[in-house]
Amino acid sequence: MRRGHALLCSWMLLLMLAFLQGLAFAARIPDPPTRDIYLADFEQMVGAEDRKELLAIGEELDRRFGAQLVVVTIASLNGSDIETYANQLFRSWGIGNAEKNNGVLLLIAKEDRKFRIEVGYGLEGAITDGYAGEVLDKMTPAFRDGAYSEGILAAYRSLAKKTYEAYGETPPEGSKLAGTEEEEFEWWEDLLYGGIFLVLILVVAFLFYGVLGPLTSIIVLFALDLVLYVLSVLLYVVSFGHWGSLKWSSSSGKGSSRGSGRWWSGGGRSGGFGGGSSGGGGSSGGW
Amino acid sequence: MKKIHFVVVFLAAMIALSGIVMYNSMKSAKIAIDAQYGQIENQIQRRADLIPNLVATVKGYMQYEEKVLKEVTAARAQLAGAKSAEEIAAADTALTGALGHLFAVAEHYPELKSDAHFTELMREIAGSENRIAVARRDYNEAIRDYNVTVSTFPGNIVAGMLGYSPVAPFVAEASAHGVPQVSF
Repeated sequence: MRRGHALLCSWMLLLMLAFLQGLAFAARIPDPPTRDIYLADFEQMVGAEDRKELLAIGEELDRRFGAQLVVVTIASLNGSDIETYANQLFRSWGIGNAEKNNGVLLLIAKEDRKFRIEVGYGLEGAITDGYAGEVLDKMTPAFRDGAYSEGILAAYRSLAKKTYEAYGETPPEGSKLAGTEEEEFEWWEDLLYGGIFLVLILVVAFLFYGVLGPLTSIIVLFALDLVLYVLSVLLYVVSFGHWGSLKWSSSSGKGSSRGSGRWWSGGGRSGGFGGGSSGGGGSSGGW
Repeated sequence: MKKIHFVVVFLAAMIALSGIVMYNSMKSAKIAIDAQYGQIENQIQRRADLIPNLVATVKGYMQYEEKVLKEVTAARAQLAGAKSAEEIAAADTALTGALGHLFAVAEHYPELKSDAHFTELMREIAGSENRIAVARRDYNEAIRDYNVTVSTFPGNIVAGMLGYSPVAPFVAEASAHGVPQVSF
């Protein structure tokens, strides 16, 4: 049994390594919001009225095309450059649909006086780097005057308009939309798979009990359980950052919310980020 | 006796199974590296494709800066002729340097700087450079994932048997870090 013990220890070590890796990846980027995901206004730069309009536009775009236009205001980049920060935030939140990669991020670092529009692969054709730069240019005067809310909303409107154009549609008149969001609970899937798993293990347990007797079967079962768990963790680590290519992660219809790959974060998953990625397209500027 | 046999067979099967899983994850990690590398070349190509347009636009404003323009054109030609990964990286660095010179010179031409077409091209080039940077980061990330798989236990045993060795990540040359910051 000593050999088995050593094996067990090494598995455990690997497991810890896997988790540490996950933690290191998530550092410094703020946690994604679970509500009102289109405006993560950490610096309170947008007024209440504008916020309402912005969220309404964002929801409509998400509902229609799965496209997610997200505004994030932060205090400081903590010394990192805005391109790297924006790309990491974009990916760790998973803005846009995982298959279409149709997310757009408008990131504003208030103290650094810098902003960036980062465009997901899927919208690069419609919102070119040149256009993103133009939108930022138009934002600049308002920002210099301290009219942040106004500038952000105007930029958001232009980006939304381009997104409608990208899908060959015209924006709705007077973008006041209702449409209560149907909540899609995905955790039932986890429960289902967990249940099947449990039943399987119980069946195997009965088989072992018959052949091996109680003590050995418990040990073997434990080992089996651990091996299966480690295999699933390995699979998870291997697929880290490749959610889009894994079908089972996004099989549940519109916009599954496993963007960050942090499935344990749980919570209310109404809407949520779609798991989109970006390859660094867009434009940066400052005011 | 029979029970012992059963346990031994079971454990052997488990070890073989995890060996297969390790092999598969190594193989897919290796494939991911190649895919990410292809992405770098795509983005380098994307930037190079913007150059003829840029040169044509700039020419009208700065006829007297032939040296700089030639440097840019030559770097692009070098990139077009590059075959190996090293050659491509070297040519790309040369192109980055040449573009840096061009943008520095452009500072002296206010009319050029206010040309809408030039502004857009500059933005596209800056965007391309960022895409190259992101692709390189992804490439290194893929290499890191692969290296972790082949050099940690128990992957290293399987890797040793199959001849999978760690891969060196891409290290940007010092001059390549100086991506020209463009402000308007």
